Amino acid sequence: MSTMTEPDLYYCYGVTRAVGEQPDGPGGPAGVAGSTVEFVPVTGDGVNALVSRVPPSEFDEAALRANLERLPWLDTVARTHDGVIAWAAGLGPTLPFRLATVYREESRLRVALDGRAAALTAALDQVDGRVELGLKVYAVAGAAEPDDTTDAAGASAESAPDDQQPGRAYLRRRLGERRDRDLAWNSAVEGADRADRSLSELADDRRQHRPQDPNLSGVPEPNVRNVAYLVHRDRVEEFLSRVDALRECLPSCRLVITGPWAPYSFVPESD
Amino acid sequence: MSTPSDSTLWADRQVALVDLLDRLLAGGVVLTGDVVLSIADVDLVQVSLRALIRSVPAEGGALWTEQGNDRLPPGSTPTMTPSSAT
Repeated sequence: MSTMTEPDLYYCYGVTRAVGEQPDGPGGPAGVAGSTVEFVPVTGDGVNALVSRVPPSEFDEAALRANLERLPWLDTVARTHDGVIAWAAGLGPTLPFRLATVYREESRLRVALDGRAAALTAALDQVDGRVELGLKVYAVAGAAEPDDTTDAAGASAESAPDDQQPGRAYLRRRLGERRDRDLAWNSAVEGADRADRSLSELADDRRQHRPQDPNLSGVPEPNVRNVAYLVHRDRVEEFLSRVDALRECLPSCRLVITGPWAPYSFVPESD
Repeated sequence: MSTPSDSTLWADRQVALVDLLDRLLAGGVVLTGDVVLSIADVDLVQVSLRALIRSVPAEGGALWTEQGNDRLPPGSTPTMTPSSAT
């Protein structure tokens, strides 16, 4: 069969037990590529998938591969995806799907969802009433106390005066900078471990992400730790208070909290 | 289960793209089956890095130098920082 226009594809944002509102009703979220978001019922008690029909010109395999490498497109689609998920998460437990989960046919999407129904509903129960909070720990330059013992070689009595050996002075300065960076890094790692242990006490679960590349984050300080915590909403205030307390006693670290997020980091593994 | 305060919690978030990509490219449920693109087969962290580097103006290329790889933990991506920022 040939048609003049390719049939729409099906973009799935996630599954939810959101109640009280419809995504295509008033106040509903915008979908990717200007689409409408709709509920598609899934096996499970009151579980719906959040789905949009999207054009193949933007979401078929070739277009997706190209678009994923275009930052403006990636930015827009990622934020729209998160907007749909945040809307649902405000109305009930919600599990986000990975970016660009696109099916050729709605029936195929339903088959895939129903095949995972048990795992998805179990995961929805686990995240019910909870949010994900992100913690990023950065090393603060110059916050660590210099350790005099490591300076012994550089301060050796037999060294010649630096002004007679500029190459040596340069080397010593570079070694000093390197040592300062290592000190700051090691001190921040200790602080990050302490913060992580303390905050884990208030969380139901925790996942570690890889540290962020300064090139992507725009933050020049080294990112020592990048962690996500699953926190019951009744404990969010306590969690944030503890972060404030940790900031006071960990001068070698800068702690940054992000969120609340839907539980992106706490979904069942793929099978 | 939800209360009005839930919606308030989600209303005024400021989301940085890099934090969102941590979650949307490395987290989230991965569904299999007849997907258009098997996203698990794509190294999306590299993809997003390439997307970012392409968005840097061509004349900015010389400003980017590699530094500080020695203090990164194993398994993390190479660090690149603008040399003008140091």
